[in-house]
Amino acid sequence: MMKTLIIHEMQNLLKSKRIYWTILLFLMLFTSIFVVRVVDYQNQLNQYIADEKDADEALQAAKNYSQIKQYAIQQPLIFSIYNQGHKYSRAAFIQYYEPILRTTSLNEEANLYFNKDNKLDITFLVTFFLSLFILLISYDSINGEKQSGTLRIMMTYPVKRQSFILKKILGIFSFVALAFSLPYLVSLLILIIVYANLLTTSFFLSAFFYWLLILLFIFFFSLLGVLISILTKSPNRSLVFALFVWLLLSIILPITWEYIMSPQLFHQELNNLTLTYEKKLEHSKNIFYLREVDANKYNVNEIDINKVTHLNWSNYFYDTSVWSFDEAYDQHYRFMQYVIDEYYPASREVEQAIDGLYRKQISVQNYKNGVFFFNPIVLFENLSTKIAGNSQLDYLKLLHNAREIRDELVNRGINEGWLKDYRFFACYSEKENHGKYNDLVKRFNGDHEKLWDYLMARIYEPKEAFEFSLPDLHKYSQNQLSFGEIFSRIFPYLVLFVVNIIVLWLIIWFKFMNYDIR
Amino acid sequence: MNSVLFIKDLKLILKDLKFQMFFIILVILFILSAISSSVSYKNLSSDFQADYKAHVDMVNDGQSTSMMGMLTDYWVIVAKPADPSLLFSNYNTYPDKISTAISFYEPRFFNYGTEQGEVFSLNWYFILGILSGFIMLVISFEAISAEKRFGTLRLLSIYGVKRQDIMWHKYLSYMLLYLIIIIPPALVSMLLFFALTGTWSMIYMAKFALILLLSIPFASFFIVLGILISMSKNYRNSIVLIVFIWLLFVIIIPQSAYVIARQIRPLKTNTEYHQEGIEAFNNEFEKWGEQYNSSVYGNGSLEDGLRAKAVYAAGEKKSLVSQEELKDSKQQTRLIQKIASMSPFYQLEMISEIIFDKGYYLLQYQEETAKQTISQIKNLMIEQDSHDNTSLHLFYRWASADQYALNGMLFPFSKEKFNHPELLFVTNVETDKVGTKALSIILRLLPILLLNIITFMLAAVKLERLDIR
Repeated sequence: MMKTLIIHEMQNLLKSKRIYWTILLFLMLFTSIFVVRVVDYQNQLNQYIADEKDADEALQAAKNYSQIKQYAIQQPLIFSIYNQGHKYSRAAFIQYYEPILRTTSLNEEANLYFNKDNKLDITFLVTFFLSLFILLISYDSINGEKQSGTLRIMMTYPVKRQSFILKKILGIFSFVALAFSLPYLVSLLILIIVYANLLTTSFFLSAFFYWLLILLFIFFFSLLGVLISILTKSPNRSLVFALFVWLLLSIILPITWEYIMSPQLFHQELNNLTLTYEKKLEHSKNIFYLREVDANKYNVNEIDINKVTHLNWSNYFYDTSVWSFDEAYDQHYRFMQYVIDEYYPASREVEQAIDGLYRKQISVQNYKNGVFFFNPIVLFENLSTKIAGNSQLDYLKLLHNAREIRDELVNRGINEGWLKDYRFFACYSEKENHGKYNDLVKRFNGDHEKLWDYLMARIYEPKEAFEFSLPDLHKYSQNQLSFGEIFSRIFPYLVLFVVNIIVLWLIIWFKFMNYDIR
Repeated sequence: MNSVLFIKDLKLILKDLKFQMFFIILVILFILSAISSSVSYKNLSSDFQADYKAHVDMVNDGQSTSMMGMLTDYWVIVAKPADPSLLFSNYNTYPDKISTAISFYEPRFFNYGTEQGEVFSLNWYFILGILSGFIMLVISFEAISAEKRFGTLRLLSIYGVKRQDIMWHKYLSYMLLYLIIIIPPALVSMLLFFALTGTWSMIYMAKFALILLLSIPFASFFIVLGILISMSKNYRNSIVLIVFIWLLFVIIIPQSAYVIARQIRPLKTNTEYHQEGIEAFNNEFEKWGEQYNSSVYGNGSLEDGLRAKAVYAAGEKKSLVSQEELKDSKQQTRLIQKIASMSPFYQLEMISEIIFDKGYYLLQYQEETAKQTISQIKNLMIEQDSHDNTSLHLFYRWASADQYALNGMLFPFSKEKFNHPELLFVTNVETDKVGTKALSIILRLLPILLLNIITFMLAAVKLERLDIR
């Protein structure tokens, strides 16, 4: 009985011109957005490949340990075709002991004048259009039948009210679910064929959970449409009411959060966190430039910090061991010791401070879910980002991963000894020892220009190469979400979603049992 | 008779629940947009004050505004202070500040990259440009059908009212309704905004009034469209199509413009531009090296400035690449705007840019101003330098190119303070004159007016032929 009723309802829906239009428009939108996103993804993928190549070339060109500079580059997620999520540059630059605070862009196409990302993706289509389309299909499901009199006829048959309303809801739900699932599955199939070698289990997991969420979403809106239809007398009125509810849920509530509530509620806290971060950053810089440090401990008075940093980091002196006069090695050793003891911990603190800020931003997003627990559009938007693996949480994960790589590199440098000795910046096996720097200065009668020329000339003189081979470096492993991880991320909000649906269902049940069908 | 009809229509609409519902929504949104805009006004003006303070500090410091210092560290900033037009839209799509080095022409845009990609924002543009169309559509989509259902349409025709008159009165009463639901809350919003920010300005009041006036044709299009579909048999079904038209015009076309433009006119990646710049620099420098027998390498002699000349020439080639990057970006931006303008509703945004002097419209004039200011400063600097006995009177651009000379202890250029520090921070940007502005506004209004006339005529023809039984 149930089956025939649902099939009947679906056939009924198919015959309606309104449904025909709706489905056609939906398919058109789905296809065009999908194509746009795939093209965009292909762009990103090409850029990623160029990124990897550039980073690898730079690394292979390293002639000594100081030139080992890595990137942790995240591969663009295929699932971002469906959900763009939180946007960030993909590459984290890894330098010895420098704090990793944000990602950078390597190969990116950026318009200098116009800077607006579009939000068109399948998630936008679902939250914005699909919700409207479901309401437009279902707003007259009960009162329309009442108006045309079929409801009364139906009730004269031995059909229970329960099964009638169930049939209505399930009919609309399965119709829309089918209308969405078919293009969704086709699009997945296309991706599987085109990007076969890039797919991972986490992509399929994301796809599965996304589909599940969308089914819940469709179910919620089918219930909402039916409820509106029960609560209002005429289809005209319920149409207006449905549009009103849609406007409220999809646009007005989210923007009031974005522009009124969120800035008011968290402005102070976020400001404080930003201030803390800036203070720590300032502090670490002060340490780096020896402004806040115990002078005696490292013989700081003898370190000409500008000379040392210049010596190590300036582009000119990457290729050289001309600084093979005695105090250069000595200064380098003391400088590194000092950096590891003092600057390294300070820069870690900076990292912790900015992580605190990022975490607060994430918790603000979660708070939004809590405030709009009744709004499936907000819930869906947030959850799909968590599922896709391009949320702010994943951004944080990328940073952490990059920091781990850096820490390992530094530890290795300390253990193997090259971080603090001449090997760190040596390039050529310079046998000649210049003696002391001051002697050199005396040799040129204090003429810095000539001294400079002398040193520069050493750089360009071909020398026997210093033996250096790139050590096996710990590489960035792409972020893969496991079933458990996705589930634990979305579980509380999934419960909220289901509770919403149950509550709505109960209201409909109660209302329809007392519905005046005349 | 006619006025009776008109008043009857109006009374009917005013009693309507949906009208009351949407009116309340509009009132709330207008008030909220005043509050949120005042918050962003405060933030932006404090940002501007901070910029200005940094500039004043630099000037007082004296180090950076010495003519030597200016060559290395100083930038000319062309910025726009926050103004009440924020209530209409915040335009974080475009950079809000231009900064240009004195030595080479390479403008840099500031506050670039803050956009989070929100589709909707809470301000007047959202209400007038996006929401009001939807609301007018929902209010008017049963204009004729309701009359038909109650039989009043038949009654009217018995009384000898012309169908054209019915159409006109419907249309006018909805237009009046639009004014009723928009103007009072907009006034409240405007006054609230002025009160919250303390920026009472008659000019901006007039500008706001003008933009309200100019939004009428955009609302009117949806009213006529609503009346048109209310005559179709299955008007509840046609609402799907109409909502789709609204989505297409208001959201899909403007949103997808960027994606399409990027495919049609792609830019190179930032790394490619960067590398091209470096290559251009190196090639030119090597040419000089070959020509002058390598004496451009090293530091050369400061007096003949050979190395500096070479660096400057190479730098000029490099800046050509960055200018090309700017040109490409500009062309892409124009294309984006062209595609978005296929939706007549995007024109409202463009019109508001002209009225309030902001966005991309202003940016082009800011760039022009930056160029002019730079050349003015250059001339002044050369003149001032010529009076200084300690200066080597090197043409300052070569001096600026020679980092060694600047970093070292030599003074190829005057160390005196620059006499016109006020030129370094520009807020006055001249845009078009009122007449030109009015003309371009009218041109931008044409498509929507045309659409209005066409749909109105279609509706009138349809009403003539309508079976009113």
